Amino acid sequence: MDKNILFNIVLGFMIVSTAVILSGLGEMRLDVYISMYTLEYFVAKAVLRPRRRFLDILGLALLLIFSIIVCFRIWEILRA
Amino acid sequence: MDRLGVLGAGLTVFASLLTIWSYLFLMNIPLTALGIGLLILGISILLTPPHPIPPHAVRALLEGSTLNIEALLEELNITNRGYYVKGADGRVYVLIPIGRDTGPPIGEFEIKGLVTKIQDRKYLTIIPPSSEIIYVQELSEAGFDDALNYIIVDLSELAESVETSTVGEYVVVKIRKPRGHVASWRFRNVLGSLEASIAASLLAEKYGIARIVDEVDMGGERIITLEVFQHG
Repeated sequence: MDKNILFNIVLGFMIVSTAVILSGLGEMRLDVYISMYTLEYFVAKAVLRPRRRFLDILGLALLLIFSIIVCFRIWEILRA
Repeated sequence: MDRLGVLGAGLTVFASLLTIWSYLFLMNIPLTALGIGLLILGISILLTPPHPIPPHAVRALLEGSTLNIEALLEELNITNRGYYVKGADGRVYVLIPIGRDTGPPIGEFEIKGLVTKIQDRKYLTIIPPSSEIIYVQELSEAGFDDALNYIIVDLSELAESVETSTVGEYVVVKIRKPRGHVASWRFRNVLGSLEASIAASLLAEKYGIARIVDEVDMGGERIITLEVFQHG
């Protein structure tokens, strides 16, 4: 199977599984979901190495959002 | 837009609406999270490059193009190893020494016709099967490793994976599970296997002149050694 298609299938499976499992556990923090999606995206990308039409803007955007979430968490810890 | 693109665009629009609706009106976090997840998936599908030609068709075209060259080499009884050279027009050619191998072409030269004469040395000029495939749009900014991986693993599925390493002027390419079937003995001897020919073409395009030094098949792997010469 084409590894680009396989990457999207694996990513889709991981995202839906994460959403179902975390919501089943009663998770209500949106940043936890986004952090998990970011982690899954980069793990799947490192393993399957899919090709992109151009620069991986999705990866950059997820990394940026993840960095903001981490910064907020650190700020909350320091403030407490 | 191809079918994959339509699917990606559709999923992106649907996921955006689901995210906004579930966050603003339903105030449902799990549903919002699912919407964001689907949005990521939609954009990922949109970023996936299309595959208009199946890899086995690309492989068959490449293998088919070797037959004419094999017939020509057979007719002219050529057995010397060829030099992959980047011509003045930017295209990669294979210059095969006629008679005794007197080394790579040196100095300024112009490739013209079937036989090129460079400083009293005669070379048979052939356009290798990989001469055009190395210029596909996706490779415009790719380095040697990425370009080789793209052509051999993704585009033509000639092998399962490719690893490269450089030792001085030599480049060693390790091909895992090669699937190319070039049965012609003379073609393999003069221009190398299809995988080696692609690697040599890419090196010639980058550095000027390249030559396949050795090819060894062992345990499901093919190890190709290439030598790089500076142009001129």
